[in-house]
Amino acid sequence: MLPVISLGPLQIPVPQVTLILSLALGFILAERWACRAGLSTQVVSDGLFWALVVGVVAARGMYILRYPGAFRASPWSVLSPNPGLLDPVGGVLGAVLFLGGWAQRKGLSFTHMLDAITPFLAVVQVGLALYHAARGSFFGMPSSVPWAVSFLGAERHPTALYWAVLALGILVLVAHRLRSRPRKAPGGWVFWPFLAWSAGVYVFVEGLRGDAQVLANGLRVGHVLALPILALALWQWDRFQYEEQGN
Amino acid sequence: MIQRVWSDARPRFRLLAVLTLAAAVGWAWVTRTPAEQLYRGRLPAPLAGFPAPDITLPTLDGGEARLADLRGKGVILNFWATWCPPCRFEMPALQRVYEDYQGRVVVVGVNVTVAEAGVDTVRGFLQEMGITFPVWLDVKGEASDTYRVTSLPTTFFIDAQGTICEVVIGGPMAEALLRTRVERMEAGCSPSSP
Repeated sequence: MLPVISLGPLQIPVPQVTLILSLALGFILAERWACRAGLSTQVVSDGLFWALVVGVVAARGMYILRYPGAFRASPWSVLSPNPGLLDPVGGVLGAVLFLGGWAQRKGLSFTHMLDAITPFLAVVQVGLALYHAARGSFFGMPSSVPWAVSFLGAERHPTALYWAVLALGILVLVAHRLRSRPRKAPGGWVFWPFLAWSAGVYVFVEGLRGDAQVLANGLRVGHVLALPILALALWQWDRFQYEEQGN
Repeated sequence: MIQRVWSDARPRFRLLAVLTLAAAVGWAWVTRTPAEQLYRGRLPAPLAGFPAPDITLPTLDGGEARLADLRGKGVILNFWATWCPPCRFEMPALQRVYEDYQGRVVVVGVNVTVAEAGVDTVRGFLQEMGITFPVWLDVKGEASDTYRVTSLPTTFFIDAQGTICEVVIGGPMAEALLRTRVERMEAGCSPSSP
């Protein structure tokens, strides 16, 4: 846990900086690997940039819709840079819808566009895990494994670090998948495996979390969300790889 | 040829996919944990989901105040200092929220007095800003240590049962952020909350 680094009078919020760095690094990597995904750097760069802008606007818009009273009392907060006033689901939905429209306008398939931004998503996933590690959130259940870390009065699984290491492994797999991508590979060649790996990793680490949200029957909310995504990703992976490629 | 390789590989892939999915469902099932078990025995800690550590501090009017005495109401515990620009910026928003939610939510400003020139500086600053919410004085820095405050401002949103709902490190916080967190706080964030 390292929420702030103090450099003289300067206080650096490590979690936020980690996340912002991962966004920048992911952006650069997606640009560089665009040709491996069969798209031009310009298309990926513009598409991703505007998707991020639309995502932020949609995230704020959705948040305002959720809490209209708070913004009626303080209208200027609409322009606040506070990331706490963003709705992540709304942001992702906005960005995905925009990317779909962008791909259509450029005459590309949506799944090809998703392939091209997969390196960005893979890097951001590593950043998100490190963000949690720095914040001290996403900590593990008490455990006696030799590598357990002492946190909040107990030896615990370093769950956020498991996630970061596995996410880094997924990034390597994404790089390999892009390198080995056949010239006429169908759209989704990189994205669906990435989604399946990520959902699988999330299911694993969620099961070791000590700060998970749980339903009345003890099922973890993260599992309820990740399992259908894993099933969808595996189904799509099977479908495009063996139907479209096979034909 | 390629077609045959693909069609040979497909059943293997499907089997692997089904096994993966079954393992994931099995893992989700065996790691089920009732909320009471997940939260049971949690020691007070300055983290979301944990009971807020109790603190007792002197107040500006010479009295003494204890955090545990505020149980039953939501508490916004804001660590601040007069020399910290984001703290200054968010003070008016905290004051407005204090006025609008009076009786339901308590705003407590914990001044990190150990890092101030003196109590008079704090008093002058509050008068100048028109702040009327309770201000406690962390004269020895013990409360800041207990709450592991490494950056100012740092704000803890604590529900009526004494559980920390959220920690916001840094600022200034927008007024809408404060208001939405109050709404969440009133819904409660303890395991037994709806």
